[in-house]
Amino acid sequence: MQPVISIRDLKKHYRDCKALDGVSFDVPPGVVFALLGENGAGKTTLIKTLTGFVRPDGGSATVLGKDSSKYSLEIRRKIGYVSDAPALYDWMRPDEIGWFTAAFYPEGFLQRYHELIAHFEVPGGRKIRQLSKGQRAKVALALAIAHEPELLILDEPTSGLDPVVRRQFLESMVDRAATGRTVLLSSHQISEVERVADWIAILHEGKLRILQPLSELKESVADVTVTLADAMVEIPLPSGEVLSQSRSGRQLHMMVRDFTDEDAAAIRAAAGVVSIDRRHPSLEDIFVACTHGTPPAAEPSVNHARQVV
Amino acid sequence: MSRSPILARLLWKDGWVIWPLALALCGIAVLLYLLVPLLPGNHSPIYSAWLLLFPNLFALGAPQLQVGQEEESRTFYWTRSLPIPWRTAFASNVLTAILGLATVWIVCGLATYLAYRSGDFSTQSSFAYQGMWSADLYRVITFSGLLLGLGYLCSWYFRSPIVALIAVVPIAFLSVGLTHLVNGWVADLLLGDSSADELRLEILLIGHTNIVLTIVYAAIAAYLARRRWTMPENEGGRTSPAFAPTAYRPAPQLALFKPSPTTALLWQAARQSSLAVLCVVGVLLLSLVAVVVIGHYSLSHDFSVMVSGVVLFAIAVLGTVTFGGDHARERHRFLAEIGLGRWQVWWTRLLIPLLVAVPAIAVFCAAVFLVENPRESNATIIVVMIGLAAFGISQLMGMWIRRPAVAVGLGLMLFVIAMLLGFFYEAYPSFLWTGWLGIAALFLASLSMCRRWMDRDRGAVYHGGMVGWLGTAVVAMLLPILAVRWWTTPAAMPEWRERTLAAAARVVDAQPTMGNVRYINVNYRSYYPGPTLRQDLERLQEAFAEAADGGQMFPIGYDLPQVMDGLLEAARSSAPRDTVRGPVPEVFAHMESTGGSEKWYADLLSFALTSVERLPELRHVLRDADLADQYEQIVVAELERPESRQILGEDRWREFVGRLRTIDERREDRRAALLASYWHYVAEDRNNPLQLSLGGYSRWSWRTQALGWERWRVRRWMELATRISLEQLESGVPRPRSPEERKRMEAWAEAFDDQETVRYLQPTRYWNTGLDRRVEALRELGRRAPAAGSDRSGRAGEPEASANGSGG
Repeated sequence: MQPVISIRDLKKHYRDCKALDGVSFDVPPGVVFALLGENGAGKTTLIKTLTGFVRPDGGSATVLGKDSSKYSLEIRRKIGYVSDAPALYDWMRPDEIGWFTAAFYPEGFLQRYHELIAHFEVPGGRKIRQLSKGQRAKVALALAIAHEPELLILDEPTSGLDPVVRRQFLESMVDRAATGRTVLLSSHQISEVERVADWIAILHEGKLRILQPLSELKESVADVTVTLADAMVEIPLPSGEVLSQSRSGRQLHMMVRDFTDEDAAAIRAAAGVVSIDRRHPSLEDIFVACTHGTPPAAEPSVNHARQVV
Repeated sequence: MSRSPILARLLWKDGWVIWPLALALCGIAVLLYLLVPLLPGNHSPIYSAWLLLFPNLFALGAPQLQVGQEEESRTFYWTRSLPIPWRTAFASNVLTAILGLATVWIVCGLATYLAYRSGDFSTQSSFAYQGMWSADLYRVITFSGLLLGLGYLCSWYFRSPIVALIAVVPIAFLSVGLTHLVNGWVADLLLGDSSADELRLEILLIGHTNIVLTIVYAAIAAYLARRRWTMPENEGGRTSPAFAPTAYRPAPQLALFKPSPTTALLWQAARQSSLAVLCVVGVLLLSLVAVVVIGHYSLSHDFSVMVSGVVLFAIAVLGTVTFGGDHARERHRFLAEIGLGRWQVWWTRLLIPLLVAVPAIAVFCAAVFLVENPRESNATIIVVMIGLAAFGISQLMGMWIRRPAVAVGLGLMLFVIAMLLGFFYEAYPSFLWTGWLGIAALFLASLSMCRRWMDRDRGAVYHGGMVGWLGTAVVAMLLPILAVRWWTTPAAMPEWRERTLAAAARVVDAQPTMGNVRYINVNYRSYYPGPTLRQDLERLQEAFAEAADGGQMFPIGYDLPQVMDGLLEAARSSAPRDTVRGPVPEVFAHMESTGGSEKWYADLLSFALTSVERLPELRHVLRDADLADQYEQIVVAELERPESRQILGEDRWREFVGRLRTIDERREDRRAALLASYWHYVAEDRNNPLQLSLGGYSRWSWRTQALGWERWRVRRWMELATRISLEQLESGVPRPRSPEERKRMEAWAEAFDDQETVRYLQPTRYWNTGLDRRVEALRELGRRAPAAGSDRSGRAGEPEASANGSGG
């Protein structure tokens, strides 16, 4: 099946900062694709490149089969896009902005928009500048999805929203994906994204660190704690990718990808090891390990992403 | 914590907010002061206008930046949440603004003073109140303070930069109008009709009133600032916070019909700009009422300038709002994010403001033509172009600059620079069409940059593109003029070169013939006729008589061409005195009482033609050849009028046409003038650091012409011609700067040993082939049968009567 978004070796730099450094991945159709990264990782730059607001310095990106640099207007007309700070005409009321925006989309937009506004319970009698942040976000989302786009791109849409509104948002994303449409969602609200995402991509300093379906990722990464007899004991490193490692007294803490039973047995058998404990980490733990974890010094830092299609 | 550190911090913060405005104004003012000397003509009115414009632009813009912009960017709410006393915050705003205003005044004043020292600025011609320069300066400086106080009042009341800017203008207008009226009455009451003293008292009273009004406005502004600063968010009586959750009610639905994209965009643009447009319409209506009601009775140049300035300001605000309305909170991104095309967005933003600009330009024309003559060739077209240019520049600035106050200010400054370029059209009216090119470039610029503007692409390409388009507009306006000028510069014409070389060989052995000349200064200004008008007109009549005598003494009126239009208009006016427009009534009255306006008409033209005939034989220098051309242009323009034939009578009209020079005579005079001027230039000591240019001005004052490069080309040919003629002297070829050359030059220098003459040597400005064509057309007209209709009256006067020089 042709990917909805295809990115190859995308590069973008601003002065002395590499916002994107050779990022490549595909987004399959009909999924909720979460793009995670800390502040300044390059998520917004990537999204702006996909929507044609930013021209890359290298590489290519296609959205719905069209080059994002050459066909940016066409792409924007076909997708639904909610930016990190939606620019709405705040002197309009929600119904007015819906009526205004309906002019640019096919028939049915207005009907669906009003249904969404009613579903989100946005008060209609006030100007947008008099709405709360969450209500404005709902208006922006309703405008973005009322024309039933194949692809919905959301750039940190739940930033600043209360938990209830965040859940409403994200659950509607799941509903959309269930109907075969694709959602690309960038966020650093890890715990919320974990509930809805099908695919996870983690960006760190402009590079792609992880790209995997969420379920596989959580299955494949283990949070390993090794209790040692002595703080100076060295143990063999596991065969899988060590995302992060830290020592605290007699405890060695590792986040390991593809940690096998053989790796556990080898560590248990090593001299000076008292016990070994492993558990499945949360997505947040994996994220922290990928972005702020310290890999073992003996091995070169693993700086590539294994893409699983 | 003591207040000093707080005040210091606030001064630092407020200083950062307004220093770009002050710096930009000072920078552009300095740049313009450097450019102005390059232009032909009297520069004093330009210096006067700028001395008033730049500080007042700062006074208008500073409050909007400090208050309005902080409201729009929401930083005010954060500042208000800090433990800052409102008095300290207000004092900081005012202190930084006063400091900035003083800086702009000092820079502009210094530049004007330097212009004065270099001789390019006359205090007597700058302000109409001669000898009251200091009093008038007091008046205008206090007016800046009034604008500043009023600006703060409107900023704190309206809190929207655009609305506050629009509101300031009519209130300032009313303040000035009332101030002038009241103080004029008071001065008249106190001193009666003793002109000079009454005027001085009136000016001083106006200054004092400005100070009082400034204090009043500042006090109101302080009250408003206190209220805004100290009252909670729900000021105005609301008891609930703005964002309180309310029970859900289904949203009222608009009709479920889908509008077309054009309808939707036009609706959005109209709704968004409605407040600003309504305010502008209000200003226009007020101005129209002022023009119709007050202008009918008060034909004052100052009044016309004031109303025209207000309308132009309104047009500039209208232009800024075109794209500036979408700047707030980057609303234009909404249009970009739904994938709208730039053409669609561009013209839907532009349509409504442009439609409102059309009647605005009409009101502007009405204000200008209170004192100017709309029947002057191209006058209406020029005024319309000025209005469109103001709108065009402002709409581009509204797209480029995010802050509306800065956009309006920058637009007005660029407009002033564009008006400088307009001086070229005064000298080259046939190139007026290039102005349309420049205006078209401004609109093309906003269309071209619209995509980047929508996409919030504010990189180097965006800013460079804006600058590039502005440059394109300038090039479009100037390039055709410069290109044709380059082509028609005498030095570019092979035929002229040959004749020059031949003439150089002849002229070098002959000393120039010099008659005795008397300089007559007709100090008539259209702004204030003043007490000297009668004396000036009597001197003019004496000059007519002397010129008609044909004696060796010949009066030259160097300033006379600048007022000839007004004099001729008065002379040809057949309307009753009360309905004559402009400053002409007093002149007309004097003419009627001293021989009749029609006799004056004939005498003026006759004097001009005699000047054309006598000037070349008297001096042979560029300035005087150019003066002759200028007189000839005035005469030709006058003789082209249909009423001219009626007033003069057929015979006299043909006589005047016949006295115009032929093409060859005109060119011969110009060539001789060039050569003679060059000899005068050569006669000066070239090693003197105050070496004079061909025009006779010191290079230290950078008084070269705007088209100095063409003069340089001419001078190179002149040097070549002179060198060749030197080689033809007897017994050998004198080396440059040799004793032989020096002797010859001394002989020439004696003939030009007249420092007054040196000061008034100016290079040519009216050298073009257009005059040749017009003269030939007139001659052709004269050869045809006379038009039907008799002379207007029998009072045109015979040629003998004008030789008496008496008006009656």
